Amino acid sequence: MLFNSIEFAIFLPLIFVLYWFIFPKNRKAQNLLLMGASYMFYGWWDWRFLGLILFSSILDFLAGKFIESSKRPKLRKAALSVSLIGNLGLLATFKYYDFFILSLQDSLSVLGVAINLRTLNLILPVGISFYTFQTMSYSIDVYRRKMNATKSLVDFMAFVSFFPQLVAGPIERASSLLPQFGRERVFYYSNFSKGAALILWGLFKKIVIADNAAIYVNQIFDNYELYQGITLFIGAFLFAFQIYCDFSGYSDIAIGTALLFGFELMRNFDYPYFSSSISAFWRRWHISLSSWFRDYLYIPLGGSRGSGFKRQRNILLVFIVSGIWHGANWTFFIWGMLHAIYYQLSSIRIDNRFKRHFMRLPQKGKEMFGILNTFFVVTIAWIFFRAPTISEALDYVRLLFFKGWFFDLHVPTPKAQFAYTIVLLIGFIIFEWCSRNKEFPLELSMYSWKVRWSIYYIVFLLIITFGFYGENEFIYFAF
Amino acid sequence: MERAIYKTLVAFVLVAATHIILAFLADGTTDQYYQKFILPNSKNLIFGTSRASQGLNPTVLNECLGKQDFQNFAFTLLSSPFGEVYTNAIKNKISTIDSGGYFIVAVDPWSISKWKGKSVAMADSRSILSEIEHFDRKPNLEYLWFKFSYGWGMIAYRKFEKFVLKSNHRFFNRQVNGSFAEVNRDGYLRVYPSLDSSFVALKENRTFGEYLKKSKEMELSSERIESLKKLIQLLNSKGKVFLVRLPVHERMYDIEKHYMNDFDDRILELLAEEKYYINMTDSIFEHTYIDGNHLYYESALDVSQRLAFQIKARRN
Repeated sequence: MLFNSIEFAIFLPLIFVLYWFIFPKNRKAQNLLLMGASYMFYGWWDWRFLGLILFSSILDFLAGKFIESSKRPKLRKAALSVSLIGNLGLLATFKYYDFFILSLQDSLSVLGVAINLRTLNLILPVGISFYTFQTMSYSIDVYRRKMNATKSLVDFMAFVSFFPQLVAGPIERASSLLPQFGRERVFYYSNFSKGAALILWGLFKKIVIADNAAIYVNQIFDNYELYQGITLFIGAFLFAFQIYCDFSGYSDIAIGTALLFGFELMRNFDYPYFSSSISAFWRRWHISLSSWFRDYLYIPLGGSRGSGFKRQRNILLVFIVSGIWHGANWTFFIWGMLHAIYYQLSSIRIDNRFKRHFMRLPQKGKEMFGILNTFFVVTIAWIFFRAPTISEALDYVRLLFFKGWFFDLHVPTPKAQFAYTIVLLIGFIIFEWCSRNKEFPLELSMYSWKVRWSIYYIVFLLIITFGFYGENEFIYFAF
Repeated sequence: MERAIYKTLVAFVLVAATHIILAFLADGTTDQYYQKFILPNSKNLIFGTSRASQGLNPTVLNECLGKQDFQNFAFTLLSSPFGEVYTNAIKNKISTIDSGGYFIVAVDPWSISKWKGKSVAMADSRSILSEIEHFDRKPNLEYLWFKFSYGWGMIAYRKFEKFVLKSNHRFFNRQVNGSFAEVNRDGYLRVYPSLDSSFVALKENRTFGEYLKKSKEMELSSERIESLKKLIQLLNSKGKVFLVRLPVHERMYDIEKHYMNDFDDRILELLAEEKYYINMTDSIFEHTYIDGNHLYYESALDVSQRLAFQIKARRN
């Protein structure tokens, strides 16, 4: 079920009414309802894959219990291994198996060895990368004695399948979300109004900005060889905002929806395009995944301790895994590599004439330069993320910089829609810039109700006027 | 909780009221169909695809034939080829008529064809007319809810956009580099085409290429022929029926001749008398087309007038 669908517009109020009005003071019934609703939400897409969530949930529930009750370190480790192998096995089978087989075949054919291995051609289950990471965090945290294993299977299953964040995050830590299923729920109006505002803002980002940008992104990327210079840059620029608004829009709706049921999810985006360095960008983009990799991969590898080489190696590894996490394609690998290189370059201290001139700039100027510079390199990396193959991405970059006169603009059609998409996007950037110190732009509690409701109403009018109402899935469903 | 319920109700009322206001604003500027779904039933109707929608002007027909209520109920090749869906919509539209009607049915080889290997029912399920029960309600909420593919705010935006585009025709037309359209109150689709000749040439080439491809991928459909036959019988029981073949660009006409050389004979077979088939393709060189397929506005007026005179001459 999509957040931007009629089905969800009926489903959400229905579950909300059942949750608060039919079972208002019955925590167990509420959790059972959330679990049932979550399975329905997921099954709406394809009920056959509910088995995978069920498998992952039961596996980690039992692993957690066993890890906690077991005194012998070897047994604890074995139970954790079972959990990790089970979850990563699901991912490997459904997401990466065909990719590795085809890559192996290609590599061997270069060496003159022809083999023909069978591929599985499986459908990628929506959200598999999200819920497997979430359940693994539980087993690892229990193993590290950071939290106790839960005794309630229903609570745990509701935690794994919690519908607001099931298919595209934020990837919640068990230590943060699971205890919330064990607490009595109290309805707070502040949570309700904040949740509703987040949903409104998320919808705006998704169906007004991301979906309109998608029309031109598809047109330019699918026919990139017809364009050059600035038109290709506009394509990459629009994709940067498409993916940001699509994914952060989903996160906003997820966080807002969870708040309606009394749950607090972690913040997933913090105005990442206003970051003045790559390291800041990664502290503000897809926070739940970056921090997951930090806690469960980077630090266990040694983090920034040890020699400079080890630190660089750990950074490279984390970015490459992060790239591959997004999809079974070498383009994601390159995207991760590029970010690793950016990250490492940004940590090199340079001292030359340019740097000395730069340091004399006023603080605002330095910040602005950093923001534009970071945005530019991030946008170039997005080309590899969006292009279907590495060679097409490289060709895109080549045409962008080296074909003809850079400022020869070729406006894609329909032109009128392109014009209002650009106007809306500029308005959106200005609005986000002015709101960058707030948790999200529609957090308007400091204003009178007249101002608040006027702004909400304007956003609503923009949604019903410029929103795209076709079937457009969220990009991160594919990861 | 009470506060949340109260605020939700206020928001709900605001959302509903906004949509109701927008629904009342909907008209011919909304999209290229809506206006045809809100006109009252009429005794004198034009049927066909987009050629007729843009090519036959009810006002001219009214003037020349001394009528008052000619209406254009033609849509597009995708939505109104002859078949069960279009016939049902027409039945609905003429349900209140007993006799004395004038019906002009525009025909061409494509509207009696289907895609090879695909069923007519499958193709027609994508029609804008499918599953619509009412064609004479204003506002037509059924249409807006099920068929309008934008948010309803677009109704107001389109009104504003058309106002700007029409008032600054030349300048904005160049900017949007193409046509914008509006449906008149009689159902006629008025297209304001681009003035840029290179753009027209581009569109013509695109159209010819598209129809050349169609000529290879489509075939005559006996089901559509049968539907057209039944439609003629139905209309005959309520008034006079004239079948008309509208002029098109010579290259398009060549494609059609190549695709279905015996088209005129097939149409004549469906009629009791030859005089009820008006073939206007002998005047193809005398008109201007916006894309090789559709008549330019001035030409549409001329063709409508010529058609009216021919009907006048043949009606008795």
